[in-house]
Amino acid sequence: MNKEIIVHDGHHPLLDTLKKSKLGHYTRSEMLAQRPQIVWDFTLGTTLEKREFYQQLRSMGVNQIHADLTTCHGSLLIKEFPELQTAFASACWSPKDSYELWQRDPEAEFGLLEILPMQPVEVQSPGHCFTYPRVISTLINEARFAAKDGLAKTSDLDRAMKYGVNYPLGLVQWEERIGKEIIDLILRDLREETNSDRYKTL
Amino acid sequence: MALQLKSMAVIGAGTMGKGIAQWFAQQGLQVQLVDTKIEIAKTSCDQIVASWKKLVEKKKFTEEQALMFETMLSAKTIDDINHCDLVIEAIVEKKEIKDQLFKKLDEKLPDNCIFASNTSSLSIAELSQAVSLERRARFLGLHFFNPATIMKLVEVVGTSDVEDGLASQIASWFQAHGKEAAQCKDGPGFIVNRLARSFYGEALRIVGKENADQEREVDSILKQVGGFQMGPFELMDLIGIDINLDVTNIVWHAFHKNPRFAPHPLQEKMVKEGRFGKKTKKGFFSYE
Repeated sequence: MNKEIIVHDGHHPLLDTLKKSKLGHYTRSEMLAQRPQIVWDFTLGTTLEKREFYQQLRSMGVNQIHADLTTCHGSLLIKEFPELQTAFASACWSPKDSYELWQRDPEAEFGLLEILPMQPVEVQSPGHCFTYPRVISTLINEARFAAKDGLAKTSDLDRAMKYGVNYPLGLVQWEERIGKEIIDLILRDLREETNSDRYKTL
Repeated sequence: MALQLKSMAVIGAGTMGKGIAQWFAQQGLQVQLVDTKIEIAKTSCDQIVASWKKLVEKKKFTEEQALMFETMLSAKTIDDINHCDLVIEAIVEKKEIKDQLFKKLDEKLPDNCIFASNTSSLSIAELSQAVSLERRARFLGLHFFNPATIMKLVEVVGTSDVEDGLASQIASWFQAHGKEAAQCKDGPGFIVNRLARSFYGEALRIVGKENADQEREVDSILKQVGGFQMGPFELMDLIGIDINLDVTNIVWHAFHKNPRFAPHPLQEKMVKEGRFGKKTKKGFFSYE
């Protein structure tokens, strides 16, 4: 039995980094036998899926959760689950090698840097899919629509954003770095939770 | 065959027109900077010359280069414009006024002269209706970004009437002269003004209502994590919240009010209150 463990579903983009941590790492089915008290949650899921998972963790007696909430409504979940001590957005690749971090107690030290050796940027609230993942996903979504409409070649779309507004990467290239699955999950949750076609994707 | 450009004219001696004229003169083209009154065009030419002098002091150019550029630049009115290989319109964003201008230019300039508009919001195909069928084959959008001497991008916007290969030839010409040319079709907002809408729209939805601390935090996160050079709120203040809202509305209407482009009530409120950003000293942040 391990008191403190990492739980993942095999899809997190930083899986290789997570596996280097001294904490044991388990899938959701494997974790049951560990009877953990502290869980570092690196599963990817929508708000609904995360809520169900945290209810399960609560029923197992887990009293502290630190979670990657890149793809869900973090601000709702931290209200519903006082067990959530830390929320972060490490699933969305950053050109600055950093990620957003919210802590219930900003002074507390839980050893996050040992697991995620990138630069955390503290935020007041996780919001809905945090700030950077939400903004970049909607930008990339528009690049998808523009490419589908035949507005320009993808190389021209990227050149325009890099040299017209100084983006560090073109949006097509940016999607390749983050991964389609992450962008789709973020847009899906935004659409489901807001009920708005603003987040409709292809 | 590579495009040869030896002379050009810029119509409209405002901020964009001046920048475009300056950049072309620096490429060694004979440039006519044209405005309704010769005094306006001359004042703008003087400002360009003053800019070159400053650039010589900063050792960006030699004195000889600056003198050579100066000889390439002349101030004109429409009535005394000379023949040239390319004319770029950079006047007020009003279709009726642009239509009148293009009709006049079509009559005055030779058939082989390429016509271009620097519009950021009007349809190139619709603007090209003001000229003859033959001219439409040589009528494109050339959208520069401010400041035109520094920002590398030029959007090269073709229409179905443009002769085969011309847009590519122009794009190659710009690439060969240090610009980055992005070719695209004639769609609302072209590339940048369409794709960048979410940068502002989503940031506004994240904050929801006025909250300078949260706006500052969103700006900071997008710079520190996203690697953007400026945050959306400071950028809207710089561009002008009124101008940003105008572009949003143009693209939103062109896409039949698709919610992806919908303006946010906070933008509309600020514009109604006359808080346009830095130029009024009040926007999302205060500049007093």
